[in-house]
Amino acid sequence: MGIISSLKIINEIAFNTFKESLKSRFFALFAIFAFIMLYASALGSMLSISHEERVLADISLLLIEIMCLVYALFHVSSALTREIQEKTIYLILSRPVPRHICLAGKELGVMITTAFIALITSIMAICVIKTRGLDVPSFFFAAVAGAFLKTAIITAFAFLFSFVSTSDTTAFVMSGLLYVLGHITSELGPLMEKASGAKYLMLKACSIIFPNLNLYSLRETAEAGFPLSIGALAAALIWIAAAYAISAWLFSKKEF
Amino acid sequence: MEENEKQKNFSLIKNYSIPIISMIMLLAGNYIANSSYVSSFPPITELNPTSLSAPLDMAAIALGSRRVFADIWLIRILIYYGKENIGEGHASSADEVYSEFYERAFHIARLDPSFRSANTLTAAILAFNMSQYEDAENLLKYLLKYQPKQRFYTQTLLSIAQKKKGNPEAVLESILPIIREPDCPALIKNVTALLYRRAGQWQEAEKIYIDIINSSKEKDYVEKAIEGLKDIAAIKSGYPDPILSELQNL
Repeated sequence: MGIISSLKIINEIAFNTFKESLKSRFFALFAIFAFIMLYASALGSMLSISHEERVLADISLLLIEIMCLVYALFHVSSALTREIQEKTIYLILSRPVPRHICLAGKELGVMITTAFIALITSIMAICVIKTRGLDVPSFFFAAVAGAFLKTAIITAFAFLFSFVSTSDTTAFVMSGLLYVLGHITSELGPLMEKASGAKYLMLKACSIIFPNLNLYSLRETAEAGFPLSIGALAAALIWIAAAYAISAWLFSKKEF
Repeated sequence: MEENEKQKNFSLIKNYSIPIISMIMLLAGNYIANSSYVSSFPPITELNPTSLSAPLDMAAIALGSRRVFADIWLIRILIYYGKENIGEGHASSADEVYSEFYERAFHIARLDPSFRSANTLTAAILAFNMSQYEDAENLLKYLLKYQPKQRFYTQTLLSIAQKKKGNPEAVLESILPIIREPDCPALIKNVTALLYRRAGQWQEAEKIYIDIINSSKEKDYVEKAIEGLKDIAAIKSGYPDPILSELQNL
């Protein structure tokens, strides 16, 4: 199969996945819930009196990231594992579509959906900020891009976990744990200095194995003058590619 | 026999080449990521959590959201500070009521040293409202360790040192560079206006009061600024400054 025809198939599967997610009732409910959460954050920020602009932007950006992550993880389970369980995957695999192409299409579809969620929640957040008569911070869009990159990494690993775990819930929990560990990784340095023996080795292993997601927390660092580095971008692409390669390998070995 | 063994090994490597290469890629990704990472926050070991702060600190680290949790701690400290209606000039009673203020203020600093408006506000409250100069200086020195170029901290530290020496003119001089910044706390602007009043520079004091009225969302300070403008109008008509004795204590 040629590269162009492969890309065409990936494109078709991705947009089909995206369209399906938009049609689901869960999407509408999620959008309403997102708006309520973002609007509620405005009430919280009002308590900070003269720091409302910063507080509202910070809470909104965290909510955008969490919503993208949660939606992406729910979507991963329905994008492939549920299709495998419900045997609807045969509709694709019965055609001359290699499994790794199918997986690439599904992953891209989930990432497009995540980007769409990030866009919608960002528009909602901007509306809430503007209704309060405040300015949108200059780093807002960079922070949303960082959140999207972070979610894309976790999504790639979530697909991998969905192949090695026994249920959707386990894959969801494992991906959530990776998100948490990814933030803790960069904090391990000072702890390692104080640790010794097995404890040190364990911390060292964690710092080597788990991706450092704080690199993409631009909502935390962009204002202080720490933009996304090329190294961080390269690392994100490597992680996504590696997680995809292992997932594709596992998918190719899977028997239905 | 040996040939068979070799073929078996080769096919094993071939079968597992993708996951092996991918694992190497993951590790390479981590190497690249960690070599380009510099944290702008104090290390986790400095967080010094209490039973009150531990769950929130854990969430701050786990979600990579120190900024948001510094915001939450700011809201908490503002609620804590607002729990008793103790105004400026009642420093001794404030010490007793706000016994946790310093620790809470330090916690915001540990979570986010770049939160200059909040950190300057808490340091200024400690120094100018509670007369806890040592605590305010410790807080600002800690902040300067992580934000050495932050003018808000250097100037506030300088003004506190001058206040300790009882040199109001020098306090005024050291505060001036930061009061034009949009996120300068209203408390500092108010202190500056009072210092101008003490120095007899009514026009400058008036400008600051107008700035507070136009830009601050803190009702207390807006009311104080309105009062201040009324006082200055009265002074211009020949009356003495109604808070002259208070100003002498500055």
